[in-house]
Amino acid sequence: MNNALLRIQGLRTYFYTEEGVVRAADGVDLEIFPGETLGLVGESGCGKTVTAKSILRLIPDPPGRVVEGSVFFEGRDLLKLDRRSLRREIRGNRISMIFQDPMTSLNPVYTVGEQVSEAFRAHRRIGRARALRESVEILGRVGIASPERMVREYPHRYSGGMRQRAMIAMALACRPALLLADEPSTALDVTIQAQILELMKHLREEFQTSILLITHNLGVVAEMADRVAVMYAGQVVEKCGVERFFDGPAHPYATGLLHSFPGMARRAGRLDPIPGSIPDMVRPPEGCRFHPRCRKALPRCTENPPPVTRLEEGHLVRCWLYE
Amino acid sequence: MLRFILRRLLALIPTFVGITLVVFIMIRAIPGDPILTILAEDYSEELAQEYRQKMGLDRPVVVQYLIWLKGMVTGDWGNSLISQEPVIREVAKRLPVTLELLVLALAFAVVFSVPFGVISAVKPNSMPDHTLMTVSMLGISLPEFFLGALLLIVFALKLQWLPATSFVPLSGGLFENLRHMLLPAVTLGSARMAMFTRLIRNSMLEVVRQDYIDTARAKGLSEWLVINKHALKNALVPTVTVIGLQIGYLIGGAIIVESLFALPGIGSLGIDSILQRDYPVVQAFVIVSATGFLLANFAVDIVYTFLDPRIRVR
Repeated sequence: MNNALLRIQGLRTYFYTEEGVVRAADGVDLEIFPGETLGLVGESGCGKTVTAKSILRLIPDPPGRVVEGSVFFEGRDLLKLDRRSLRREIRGNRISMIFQDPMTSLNPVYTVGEQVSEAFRAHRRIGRARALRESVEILGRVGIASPERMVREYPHRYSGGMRQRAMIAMALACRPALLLADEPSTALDVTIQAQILELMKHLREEFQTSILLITHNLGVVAEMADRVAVMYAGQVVEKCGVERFFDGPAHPYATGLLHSFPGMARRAGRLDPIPGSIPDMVRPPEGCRFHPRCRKALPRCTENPPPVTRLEEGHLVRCWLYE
Repeated sequence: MLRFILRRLLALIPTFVGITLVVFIMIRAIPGDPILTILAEDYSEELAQEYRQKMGLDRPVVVQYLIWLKGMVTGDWGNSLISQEPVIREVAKRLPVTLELLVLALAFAVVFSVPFGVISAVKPNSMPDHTLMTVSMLGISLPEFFLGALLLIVFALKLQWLPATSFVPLSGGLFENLRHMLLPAVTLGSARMAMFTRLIRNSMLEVVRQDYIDTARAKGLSEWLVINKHALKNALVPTVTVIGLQIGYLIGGAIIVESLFALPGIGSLGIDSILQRDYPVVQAFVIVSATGFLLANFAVDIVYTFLDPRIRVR
């Protein structure tokens, strides 16, 4: 278990707002092993994106700051790395990121070719012409038709699916060891979603890239992930293999997520949503953060935060029921 | 691209005709009789009648307009009622002075406002930001006649670094020319610079929150490229619109600045001709200013398409 490609320990990323300190990530522990895809699931606002952005130190400061924790990657703590090395060696080179909304994640005033070329030129000593040739090549590989022509087009000439393909091309340009994919298919039509997931699967084989796949769509998890981590209110509450998760997770929140997913509910006969909504992250509940919404809450759940319990090899849960 | 430019140019024609019409009517609506001004003490009814006939002022207004419009287009802008000199010669002589003043003022405003705006936006609420915002608030609040007088007192009278009120044309040497143009250009450009600084700051703050800025950072680009390549070009799009519109105010400001610094430009010509009710000159002045404004906005449209490719498709 020590050969993790990326290991996040005790990550706390806070946002200092006028309403108070928002503890977006509040003690996140995660690891990603070489070649695997880890599905990071949870409701909107639970800290998934903040966790991913913290890895590359993309949290806007102010108002946000990583206040504690470590992110070990290939033997170095990315949170302590100097900015220059982070930029030159890590961002876009060893770790890439793609974002949720392809309509807004490409710069509208530069051609796609220019933007993909930049990814090459930021990390390799190659000229403009060479970078553009390589951009054509990689755009072709992610399934852009007639890449020689499309490379000179601006993003507004691309459809949503094509833009996400271009984003993936940009992310994979330098063959990163790890891809952070933040809801890569959520903003797209269902048919295009399937295409993008197929493409990611294919490229994962070809490039041997590990993926941190952030999503709230359990169908995507079932399709793509090897392991699942469930986040709630800034913390990981359960981590297990993907089969284990769909067989029946341990944490009441994870169970609730599964039952509120239409694909799973069909099997059970009806949808069973989790009551209530995600807590105020300025003043999260005392004790277990999930207890106000939990059907199995015990008296002590309201008093003390639950410890992390190991149920079996590779299956961890943060819940008093298993203590 | 060429078709886009041509289409924009054609769209200028009706606007131009509209301007000439409005100007013509408005000038006629100003109370006061130029004949009175010319004749002054020699005034008599017969003499006035004779002058009116000679100048065509007795003909129907529509005819006066059409004759004049034809003249405008063919370069015959008539003679000044006061000096009897051809108006076009006077305008041609003075236009370069005003153009230089406008270009220098605008250049001063843009050259300083872009880095100032960017510096402010990169670290909002920092010391440099607060300083720049305070200074720019001051810059916006100071009217040209006050700032100009202030600069004159400090740099021309007290320190004697720069000349006060004289003009050396470009033919008198670039350095001497610029020395004389510096104070007027700074006076005219300051408020604009202050305004653009705030504008660029605000649109930069808007742009740096966009997803594509995260993309640029995640790619491993340097902060310099992220800000000055990815963010700035997007932030300039709304700024350029305002720059185009501000050229109108610049032309207005030029009247004051030229009078203050005794520059022989279009602005001072305009104010003199208005005081003397010298119709042909006033008309020429307004038409030239308005056409300048039109052309400036036409230029802005073209610059636009280079900044934002999405505008080209329309």
